[in-house]
Amino acid sequence: MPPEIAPPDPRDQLPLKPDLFHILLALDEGERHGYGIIKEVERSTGGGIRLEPSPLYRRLKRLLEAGIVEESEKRPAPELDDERRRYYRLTEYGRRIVAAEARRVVALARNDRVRTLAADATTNET
Amino acid sequence: MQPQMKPDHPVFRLAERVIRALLCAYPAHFRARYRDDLLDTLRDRSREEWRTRGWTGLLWYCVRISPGIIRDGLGERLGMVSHRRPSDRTTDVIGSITQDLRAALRQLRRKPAFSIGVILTLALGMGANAAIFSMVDGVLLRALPYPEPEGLVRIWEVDTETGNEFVELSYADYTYIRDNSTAFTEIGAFSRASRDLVDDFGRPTEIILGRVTHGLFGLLGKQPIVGRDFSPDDAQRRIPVAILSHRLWSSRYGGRPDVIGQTVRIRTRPFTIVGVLPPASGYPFTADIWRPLDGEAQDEDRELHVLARLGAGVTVDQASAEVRLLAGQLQRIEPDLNETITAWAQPMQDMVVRDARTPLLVLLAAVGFVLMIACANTANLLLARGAARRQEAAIRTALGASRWRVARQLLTESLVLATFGGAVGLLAGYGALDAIIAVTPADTPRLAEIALDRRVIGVMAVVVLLAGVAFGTLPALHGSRTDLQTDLKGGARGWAGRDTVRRMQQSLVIAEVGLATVLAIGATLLIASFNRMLHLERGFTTENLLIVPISPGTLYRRNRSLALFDGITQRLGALPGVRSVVVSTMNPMSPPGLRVAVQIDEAPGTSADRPIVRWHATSPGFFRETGIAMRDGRALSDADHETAPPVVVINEAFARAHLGGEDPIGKRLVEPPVEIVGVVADITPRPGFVPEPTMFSPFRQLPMPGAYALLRTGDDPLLLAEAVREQVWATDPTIPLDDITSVERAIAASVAAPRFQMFLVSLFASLSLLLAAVGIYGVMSYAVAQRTRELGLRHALGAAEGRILRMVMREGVGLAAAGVALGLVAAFWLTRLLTALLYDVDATDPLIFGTAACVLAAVAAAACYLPARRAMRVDPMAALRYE
Repeated sequence: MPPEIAPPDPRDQLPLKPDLFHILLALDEGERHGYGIIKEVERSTGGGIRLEPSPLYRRLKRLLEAGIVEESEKRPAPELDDERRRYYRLTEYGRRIVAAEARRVVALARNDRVRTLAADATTNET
Repeated sequence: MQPQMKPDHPVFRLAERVIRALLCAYPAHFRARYRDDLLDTLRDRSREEWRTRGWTGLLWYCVRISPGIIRDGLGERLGMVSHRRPSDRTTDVIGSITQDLRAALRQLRRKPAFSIGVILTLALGMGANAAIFSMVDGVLLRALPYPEPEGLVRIWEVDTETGNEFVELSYADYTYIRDNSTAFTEIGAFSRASRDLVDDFGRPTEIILGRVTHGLFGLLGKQPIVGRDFSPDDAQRRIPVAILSHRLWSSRYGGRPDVIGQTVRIRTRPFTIVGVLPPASGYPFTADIWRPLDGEAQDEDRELHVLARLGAGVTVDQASAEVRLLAGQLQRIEPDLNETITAWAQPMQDMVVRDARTPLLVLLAAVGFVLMIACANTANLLLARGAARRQEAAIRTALGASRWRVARQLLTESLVLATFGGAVGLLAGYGALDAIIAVTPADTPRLAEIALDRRVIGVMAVVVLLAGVAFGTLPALHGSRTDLQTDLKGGARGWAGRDTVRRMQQSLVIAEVGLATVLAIGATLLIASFNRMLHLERGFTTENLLIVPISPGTLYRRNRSLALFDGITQRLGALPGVRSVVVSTMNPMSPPGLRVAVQIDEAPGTSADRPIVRWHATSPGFFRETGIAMRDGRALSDADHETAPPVVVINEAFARAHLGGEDPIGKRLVEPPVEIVGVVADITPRPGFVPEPTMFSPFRQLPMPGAYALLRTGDDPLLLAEAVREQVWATDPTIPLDDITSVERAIAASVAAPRFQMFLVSLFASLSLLLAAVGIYGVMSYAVAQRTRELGLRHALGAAEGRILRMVMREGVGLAAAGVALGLVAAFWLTRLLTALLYDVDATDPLIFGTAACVLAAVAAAACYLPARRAMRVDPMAALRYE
């Protein structure tokens, strides 16, 4: 087997799609199982993104194969744990990717024009 | 909100059964890993739906997600990424292409050795193609440099008796066609002859004199840049005027405009210069000086080149038909001269490039093969590299890129490589073209028009694009596949992708070797043919023989001619290094000479029954010194002087053609009244030369005004050229002596074209062998690297090193053998296209095919050896750790 190649620069993979970003954000906070990811994404987007299990697990499979996500041996406290479930968390590389996207989003939010547009939109809505 | 539903509620159990069934859409490996987890999550979601929306909500949820489960499952099986929303599709095409380009350049910078290697390989193929295509374009494809060249035709006559389709016209035939045809708007004729030029601007020199009808220059769009063109008056009133070629004007007259009005003497006749042509090269502008073609002085000799411009809407076929008709009329009008003559019209472009077409197309095919092999090598390299980049492709796919997007990125990298290879190749081709033109035989048509210009660059750009797609598609398709069955970070065991890569690489190597085999066979055929041409049994001595053409500027009458040649012979014979001097009107390298009708027997007949033979005059000792064998009777001797009975020696062709089974010795001809005293062997100065019936009179009995002095020398004959010139000019300073040559040099010139083809095709064959060897080496190295673990195991289990070596060699040589077999079959079919270029060699000669096959096998074995040795040396412990 040839020696492992260095993974590509996370910045090359930006921008991330919104649902993927939120999945990675959800995992960044700690280990979660599939349903936990769905609930957290729903919560943090205020219901804006509702993931379905079937596509989520296809996604997870790819993220596992890509070394962005890994299965976790750590389990939550026993009273919260469901021993049948598999728990997932970000790898170091996955953390770098989601951090890079977060920086990009923050830089965008600092943009004056973007802030003006956002403020106008909010004013128009109210 | 509903109370907590128990997991064993019948509705749930039914829903779960349905969903389990639907999950069968997923492939087995996916189910094995994720089904339980997925079911758990689905259960949680279902319960949530039931809690918030009740039974209808739950049912509706199940209905809603079912098609998605089937779609996702099938998508997983087929390696497709999850369905993307329309808004995901990037509408900024240019933006994404720019992104691809930037990423491609970054990728190439990361692996400079790899990138440079690929670019150089491609540059090799592209450069060769650029150079050769420039030649093909300049010679074959580009229109002739005349106004409306597609309307220009050459009119030929055909001698139906000999089958010669390329006979020039007599003046009578030309004027008849000119006056009676309707197919042409303009028609003109010219002839060329070698003459000596004497003027106040330099030494007497040999020039090509062209005699041309009025209006021919205008037909070809060349009006004099200084002075004037010929007028109809000049020909009608036989005014001795001349027009210079630009070449002669620059070289001899210094490009001075005041050359107009100067007088020059051609064969002692004075001509006044009235004009200078613009620069022009190639047919028909190979004459140095032109004079008007006047009708009165013309004889029946067929020596006119007739060019014409087709009328509006007239096709070449129609013109051909018309001249054929007119030739038929001439048969009736002049049966003595035209009985066996018909005529046809040929597009001028075809005529000019006729002999160059096949050789150039063969060269183009050869470089095409080289490029294909270079592309195959590149594809192999990319496939091997692509395997190492699967992780990257997996990441990109995981982050939402579609397979097409990933493939497009890989294809962009290939196109960038192809572009760099093409750019470097163009530069290389530019330089190579100059070198190739320098060794191209000087008589190649349109040599001056060859250039690597915009047209060629445009075609090469298309070639670059096609090449990039050709070698990039397989690696792009394979590198973007996302249906891996194993964790990429784990072992390569059972990795289905690896076998596919190996198979693709093996197929490419087999194809490469096949192409290289065809080229090797072609080159070997040409080498063999060239060798036969060079060592042709010519029938005369080829070494140490100097040929000095003596054609005095002033016409010598009989006695003065004898005195001149006696004097020259004496002086030259006294030079150190000269063994002997003979005089002959026949140059062995160019035998045809004076044509004369002979009458063999008393039987009366018309002039048509008197066969035409060649008549030469030679000094005694000519046959001996030139090594031409006597077949019968005796040679000419000193006894055959001016007052002795007139005798001749004939050649075998004469005896065969005109004397049947008769014993020629002692036979007397009626006209000329001579006795045959000997028969000499035929000579074959060139491959394909057909000896004509020839008779040789003693020079003293038939002193000609011009002849060759042939010198046998002890050393390199050309070393004596200057001394010879001195001696000849001491006798007569008006004799032009530009064309002193040796038989060896003349032979080399005569095979210049085949040598050129052989050299280039051999060069390309060698390149292709090198590339194929590199290809085999690369693929075998990769295969050995992939099987390190297996090889280490074999070692550890006690396999002998020799056995491992043989195993790997067998695999590599086996691939090459398959390629060679393919190549032999293809060559068998293709080499017949070379037949026109081959002399005395069968295009399917089994010895040559066998030789090429052995060479390829040897090269393949050499290429496999290093990887095989590496395989042999694999350290078992290192291999097992190598996972």
